[in-house]
Amino acid sequence: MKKQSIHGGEARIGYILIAPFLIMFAVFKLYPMLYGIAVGFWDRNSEMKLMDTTFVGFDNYLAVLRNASFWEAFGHSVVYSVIYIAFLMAAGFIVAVLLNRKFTGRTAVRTCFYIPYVTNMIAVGIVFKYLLNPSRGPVNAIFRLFGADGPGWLSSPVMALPTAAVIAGWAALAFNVITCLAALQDIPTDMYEVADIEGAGFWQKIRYIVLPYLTPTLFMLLTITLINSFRNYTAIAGLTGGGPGTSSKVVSLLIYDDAFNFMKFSIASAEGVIFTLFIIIVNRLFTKARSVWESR
Amino acid sequence: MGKQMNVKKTVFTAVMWILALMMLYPFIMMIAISFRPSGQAYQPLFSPGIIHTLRNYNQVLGHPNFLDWYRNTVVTVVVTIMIRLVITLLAAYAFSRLRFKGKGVILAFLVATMMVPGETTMVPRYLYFREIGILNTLWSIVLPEASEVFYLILLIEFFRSIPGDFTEAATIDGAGHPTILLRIFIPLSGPAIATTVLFSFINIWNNYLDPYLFINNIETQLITPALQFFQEQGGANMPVQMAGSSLALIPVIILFVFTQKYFVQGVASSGIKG
Amino acid sequence: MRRLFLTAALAALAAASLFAMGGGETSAASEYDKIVTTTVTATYLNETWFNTMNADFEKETGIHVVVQPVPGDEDEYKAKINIDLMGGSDVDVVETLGPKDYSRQVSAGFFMPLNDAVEAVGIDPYALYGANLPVEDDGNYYALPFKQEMYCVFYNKKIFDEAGVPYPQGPWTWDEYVETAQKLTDKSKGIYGSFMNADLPWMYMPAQQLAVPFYKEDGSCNFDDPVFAEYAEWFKHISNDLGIQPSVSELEAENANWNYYALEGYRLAMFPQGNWFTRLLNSQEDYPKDWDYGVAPLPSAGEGGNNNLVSLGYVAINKNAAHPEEALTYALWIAENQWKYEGGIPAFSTMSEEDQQLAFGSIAEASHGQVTVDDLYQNLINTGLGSVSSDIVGTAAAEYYNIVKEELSSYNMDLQDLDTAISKIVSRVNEAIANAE
Repeated sequence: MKKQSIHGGEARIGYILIAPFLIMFAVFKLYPMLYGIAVGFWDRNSEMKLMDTTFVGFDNYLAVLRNASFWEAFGHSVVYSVIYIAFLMAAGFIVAVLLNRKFTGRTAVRTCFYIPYVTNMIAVGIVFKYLLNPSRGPVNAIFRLFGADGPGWLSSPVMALPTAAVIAGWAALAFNVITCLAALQDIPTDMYEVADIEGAGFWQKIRYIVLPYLTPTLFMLLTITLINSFRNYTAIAGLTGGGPGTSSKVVSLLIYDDAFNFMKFSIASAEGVIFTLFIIIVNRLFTKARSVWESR
Repeated sequence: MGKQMNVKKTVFTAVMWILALMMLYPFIMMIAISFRPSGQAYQPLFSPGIIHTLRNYNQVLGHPNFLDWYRNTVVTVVVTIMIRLVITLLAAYAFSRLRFKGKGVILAFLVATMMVPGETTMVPRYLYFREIGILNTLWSIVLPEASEVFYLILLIEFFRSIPGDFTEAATIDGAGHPTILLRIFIPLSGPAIATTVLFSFINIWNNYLDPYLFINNIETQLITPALQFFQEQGGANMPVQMAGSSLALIPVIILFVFTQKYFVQGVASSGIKG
Repeated sequence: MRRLFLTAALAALAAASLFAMGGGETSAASEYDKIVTTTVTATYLNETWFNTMNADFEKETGIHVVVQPVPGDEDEYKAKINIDLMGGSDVDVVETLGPKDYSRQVSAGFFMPLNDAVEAVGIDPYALYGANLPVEDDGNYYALPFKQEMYCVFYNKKIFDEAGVPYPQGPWTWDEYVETAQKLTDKSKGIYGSFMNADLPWMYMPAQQLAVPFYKEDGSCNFDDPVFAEYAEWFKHISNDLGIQPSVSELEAENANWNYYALEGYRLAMFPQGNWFTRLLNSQEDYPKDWDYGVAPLPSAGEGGNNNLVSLGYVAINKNAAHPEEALTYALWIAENQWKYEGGIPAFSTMSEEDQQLAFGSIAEASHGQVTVDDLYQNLINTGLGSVSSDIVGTAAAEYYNIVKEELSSYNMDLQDLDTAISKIVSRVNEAIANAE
């Protein structure tokens, strides 16, 4: 009896504590989202029907599913995300491990690794376009030294998407590095001492101390990176603009174009909803995989 | 043996420094471009015939609204981070430490909404903000930014990592939840709060799309989209924008330098290791 | 103690911040009796003529101009004003560049019809602007044209002198253009004889001069007209096979503003462009260059294609305008005067001697002798060429434009053959048209 009342009090406090967040969220985030879903069921597909609220059922959703351009962009988004996530997770971890070792000027070097995160994406775009220019850039000059023709990077239909994904990953690296570093510093130093006494090498320490310790952090980072990988509008728009042709046009670009250049808001909303559903499914699968892994 | 170790260490240090310079290159390039006339913006770093000029900085600093943009941005960032910290800390505590009905469902729902790309809700947000009268004010940036699920998850994960014995001891002493949150969780969460502040700061400072959409008056604009006011025939006035970006970066870099120190020393002494 | 101080400081900062949030009302609004708000591209904001113009307007009428520029380039401006207008913005005056965007805004119902108001002030716009007045099917016009942009060929005199080739002169044809460009192209010196943007209408420019319709009579896509295919192939041929100009792949590689190619990236002998480009060519401070430029008319596309490409700028009044009366005064004033300040060409059906002097005098002066008023007039206006719109105008024009650009880019980069490109254009555009209707 007494236990239950404590429980009831706990629940009440719980609701009170989450209320401010939930109210702000419902008013400023959730409502526009629901509105967006509703737009997908209306017929706001030309400049003449911007305020139209005629219910058209699933017409927009079906139109999107039948549209080859949508599936092309969908494929591009998936490829982009896979490369972005793989690069960011691997590079973030490796750089954090390296930066966790002691060496002269470590603080300054760390700062250098964080700077790209705050640098304006326009600046990043300009510099990489110059570096990766197929005929005049320094990167392909190195290829030519070895008698090879370097790839077209951002201008080649095959390479543009992966290149953009890696550059975007490079710009976002600091977040993963900082998070991994913070977790690395939580590892009790005596664990290393024990490992040293037992004569463990660098790789063994990584394998048996660092990785197990960092698993929760890495899982959390993976979720965040997954979500961020779909917020790629600024990066793609700045680096390739979706080109050459449509070879790097991702869903976020398609949505922006459809909504703001072509004024097809209902189609754009439907694209957003379908793509969001896909992301949610991927994330569910991922959460499942995580719980299976953790209960192993 | 010792000598070999030394060589290895020197090589490692050198490699790290080279990597660091590579990371820094675009930043250096940004600074370099900010001192050039726009006709030479795309030239390599060291190329002959480059003219250096302070005109771009004059143009940015001489703009009648530059201080407005700077002030607006600082105000927006400070207010957002404060509201965000308060409501997120409370909610994170509840989600990580309290049992109540529907907790899992609510959290799963919040996480699911994180997946909605901002592009899809731009128009509804615009219409809605206009209706409630916050369009063209800084509130249109602050209020939607306040409840960011990402930081909620960050703090929840962090609170979960705090060992249970801390709170058990406090509960036995008769401390209520507010006391536990204020006296135990928040002091222990230095690194997580610093991370939240730091990343909030950068994200809001560099936010382009929202202020671009929701603010129309030139004197109410924030610094990142406002730099896009510097245009010339045919496109962006690159050097002036780079000069503006460099000026806009100063507070972010200062904050970085401070929090980095905090990460190096603060994390170790925060007592999380238990 | 330190903590207390820190908390107090934070609280003070917070209070100050909240206080500073305030409302979004323009501070300028309260200071003036009469104001008019106008939304323009940010490009204007950085040009002195624009501020001088508004100051003169205020002096003359007592109405203060509040400018609401859109951050970003012209594409962003076009997207942003649409968002604002559809969100019910109460900005008064809107400037639109290009008939493609103007016609969309009209069909979206953003603007006020101007017929009665304009005729009430005693202006006969039909006589004044002729064919440039955008009269819609309903007999109304929703804007006044305030400037037109003509295409021409700019050339680098230094490259011509070095190669010993005489400067180009109109009238001439595209065959002569290509021949001249071939003589001038010298890859070893980094010289291209020609430069055309990897964009529309350059990718099929002569077809546009021939005024091949973009829509069939039934309203569907007419891009399968063989003339489009012919000149799309021609564009690829002169870029990729003859090599007189950078190929689309090469331009995509840099993805830079094309100002850069013309003035810095390569040495270009000739480039077809709009007349506004003179402002960059005259700007020795922003674009230092060691050569003089000249102007030639756009080459003719042969019989029936003896046309220049023309784009128009429109000034319109928002139907939700907060100050409709002031808006009308300003719009009329802009239509009459902006070109004089901007150094552009007015949209009048004929230009008097005085108009020519006003339009081109400042450009000629700023060029420090590189071009004269007569050069500009003869090669831009008095070319013997007719005029056609440089834009696609009609249903779903914005998508039409994008689709053609995407598919023709892929064709130029050898990602697909021409037949595939054309058939994809036709099916995608028809889908877009069906959607819009």
